[in-house]
Amino acid sequence: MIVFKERQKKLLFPVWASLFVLLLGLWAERLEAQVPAFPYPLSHFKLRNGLEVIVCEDSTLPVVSVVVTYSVGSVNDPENKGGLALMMQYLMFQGSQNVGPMQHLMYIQNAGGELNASTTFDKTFFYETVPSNQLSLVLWLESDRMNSLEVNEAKVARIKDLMLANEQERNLQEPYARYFFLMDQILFPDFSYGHSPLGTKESINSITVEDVLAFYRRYYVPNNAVICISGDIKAPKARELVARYFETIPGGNGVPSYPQADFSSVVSSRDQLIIDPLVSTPALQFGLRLDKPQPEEKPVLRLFEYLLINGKSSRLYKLLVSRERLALYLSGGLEDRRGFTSLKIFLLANNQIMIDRSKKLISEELNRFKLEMVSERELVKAKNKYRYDFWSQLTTTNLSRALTLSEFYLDRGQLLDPDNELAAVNKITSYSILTLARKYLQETKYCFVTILPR
Amino acid sequence: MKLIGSSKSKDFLTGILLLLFCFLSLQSQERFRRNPPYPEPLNSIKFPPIESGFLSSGLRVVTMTRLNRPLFNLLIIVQAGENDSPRQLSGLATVTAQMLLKGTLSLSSQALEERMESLGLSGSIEVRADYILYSFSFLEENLEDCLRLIGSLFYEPSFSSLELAAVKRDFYYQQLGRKKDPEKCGYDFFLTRLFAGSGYNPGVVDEDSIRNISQKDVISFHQRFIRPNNSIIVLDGNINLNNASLKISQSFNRWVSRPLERPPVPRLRNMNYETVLFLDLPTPDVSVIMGNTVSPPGSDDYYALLVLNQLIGGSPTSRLFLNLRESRGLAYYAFSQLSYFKNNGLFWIRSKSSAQSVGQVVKEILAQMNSLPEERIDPHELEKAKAYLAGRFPLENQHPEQMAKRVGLQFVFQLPSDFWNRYYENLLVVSSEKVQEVARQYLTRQPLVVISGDFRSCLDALADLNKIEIYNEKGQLKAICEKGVVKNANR
Repeated sequence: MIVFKERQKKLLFPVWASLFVLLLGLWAERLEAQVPAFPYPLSHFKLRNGLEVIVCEDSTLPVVSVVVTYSVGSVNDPENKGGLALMMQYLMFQGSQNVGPMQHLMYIQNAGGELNASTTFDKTFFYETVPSNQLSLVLWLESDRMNSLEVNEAKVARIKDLMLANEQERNLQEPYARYFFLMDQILFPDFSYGHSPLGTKESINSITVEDVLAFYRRYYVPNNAVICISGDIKAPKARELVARYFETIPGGNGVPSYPQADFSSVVSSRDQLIIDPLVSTPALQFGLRLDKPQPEEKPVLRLFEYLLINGKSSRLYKLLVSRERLALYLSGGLEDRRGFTSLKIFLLANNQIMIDRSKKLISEELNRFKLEMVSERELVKAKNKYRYDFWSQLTTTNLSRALTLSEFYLDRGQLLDPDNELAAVNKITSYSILTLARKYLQETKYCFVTILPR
Repeated sequence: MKLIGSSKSKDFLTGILLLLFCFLSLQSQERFRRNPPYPEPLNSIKFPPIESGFLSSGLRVVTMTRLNRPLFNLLIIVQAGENDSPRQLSGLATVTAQMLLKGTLSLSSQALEERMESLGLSGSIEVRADYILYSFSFLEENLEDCLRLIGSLFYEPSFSSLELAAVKRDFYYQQLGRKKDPEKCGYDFFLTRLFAGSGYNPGVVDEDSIRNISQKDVISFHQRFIRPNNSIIVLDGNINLNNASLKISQSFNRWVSRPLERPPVPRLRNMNYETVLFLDLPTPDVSVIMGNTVSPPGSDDYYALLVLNQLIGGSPTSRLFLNLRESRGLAYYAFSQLSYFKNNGLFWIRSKSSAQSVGQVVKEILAQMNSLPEERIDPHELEKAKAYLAGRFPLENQHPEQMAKRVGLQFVFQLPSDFWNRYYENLLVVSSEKVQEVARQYLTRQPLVVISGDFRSCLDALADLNKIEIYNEKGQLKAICEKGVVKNANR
């Protein structure tokens, strides 16, 4: 019997083992099915001059998007020269050695393409989407302005006029915009981190051609840029074209590191009231600075944002818009600033009573995150919405994908791995949210600004 | 010889050669920077495999099979729109369409929003004269749950009176906002006048009629028009037709068909419009809208009309923008476009300018329209226009929703199955002769001209025009202006 049993064991072991392996395989397959593989081959290389290049292949349509991102933004504006980073963005369309003023736009439009640019706190993006046979044209245009931008007094004067006119227009059309910048100044009491990226009349007028050229030479260099090409192109061909147009552009002599801020002055609770004759509807701004969240806390913060304010079934939307009908409009979310994160909320209401009630409810709702665990159902909902938005950004258009990949690379110094990102979010539990809330949501740091019409 | 032989001269020569080498290498290296590169041949656009079939309810199911996509796009096109709203209840199609996303018999509006977000499902609605288009996008893993939820929106909407009041209110204010924009108002007035007497509503909504819409009207519109036998579902993602049909029939099995008969849409003729119409609005800027009817999509003229439109005003590199804005500074912008309705097409121009320059703007646009049938088209300009359209086409299909919509509307407008796959082929053979032929067919008659803005400010600029009819915001005739002299319409 024993022998038999031994033999049986010996015989059964491979059966159990293979069954185990099969089950493990099925389990692994199921896990994989939950996180679909990224369907577009992704590669990265670096030119000798330091230019980083990301290529994402998608042959669905003969279209390609190119995003050139310079690691420079309003944080790099010199003191009293606020608006310089934005001015640089405008000047990049004013002509280079082989491309006349605004010709960049004409070349792209004639090809049936689209283009735009934007400047944020720490990045400046230039992007084009064209039929894929025009990729060389885009690289030629982008390389020419990286290599030989032509700036003179007349061009700078024209852009100053444009920026000042835009500022005037913005004050009339978007009277609340200036209060967004006011909240930045409250949360980040430091010129580099807290000033308006649009500049002021005085700071714009004080910018000289020399300032512009120095800024261009310092930051608009290959070793301070990332190019992302997404679309109907194979990586070897992309490498050949990028090398052709960019390899001979000399790298810069050491790009200055980001200004570091140490906000020793703790933002204390603030409740400010402003009467503004330009606004027609009462508004409320909320702000909270989260100091130096750890990298592993970032996905938790992202999910917290979904629970709090992202979507019509988020807590604040349901509370302030659907249930209590206090807010006519509600928006908000998290914003990263090199090591710091801020939570901002903006709403419009019919009168001051509604604003005051909204303030109370926002505080209560934030505090609830510290006292109660988020239900499993609510957490699953937030995760699903997050996953949908994540895939939507990465699969809807080549441009949204290229922007996402570029931003991720500059922030983390590595290629985005969708599996890793989603796995990090999948792991989050109600307890992670509770811990995070207890760490960062301190009522003594909540800032409110109420804006009332006269 | 001696020179060459000496070490100094050797060094000198080496130096010269090195310099020459560097100079030449720099020259050849940088030569490519001087001029833009030639484009490579454009890869032709291939739509994903498309299959189509019918369920027993009459619902047409179309699949666009695309592997490896983590998201699905689902379009439901109901072949009924504002043209199907009763004359006194314009806006009914829009209100009914929106009410479908405002709760079901088992889910309140809020619960529905919550459920949609739980499934990673987002949706939007577009209502036109001939169709209502629902566009949904969701995570692949939730396909079946999403189909079940979407199905319930169509077969058991709750049409709660509370939600109806909110939808009507929002729509009313949205229409009021439209009244503040001279271009939107001008376009609505242009459409109303162009289709006047045809019995067809091209999608213009009178905000006052929104108040009259009752719950009963909404239910009746839903019962009559939002039916499977009047609808098309396009499912774009990792699925084939058999699988999709099975899943859709399970989720939409309670959506029942009903017989539906409607009069055919009349085909409008390209006509002469002698009188200029002025819509008097208290706005500082002035909009000019002008145009006429053209053949519907799918006609032999379609591709030539695309090129014609591009030559005249399809983009900022077209004649109108370059001439009116860039060269002469007369207008803030000037563009032309083609719009399509069931059985009819429109070629129309829109421009915004100051009151002082509106007279010149009108003359200049008319001159551009008149010149095309007569003057020879520069071959370079023609090729540029075609290159632009060829390049633009893949960009217009980039968004999965745009591509699915193009495929769905192919069935609404009854276009051949290979219509979009033959786009390049058909575009590239358009000749200048063909463009001029369609220009003679559609541009030689006086177009309908609508100007919207403050009439008093424009009077001097328009004094040359023979006859202008002046209308108030409600579209009622209030005066007539002949050669700069204004007479009250009541006299």
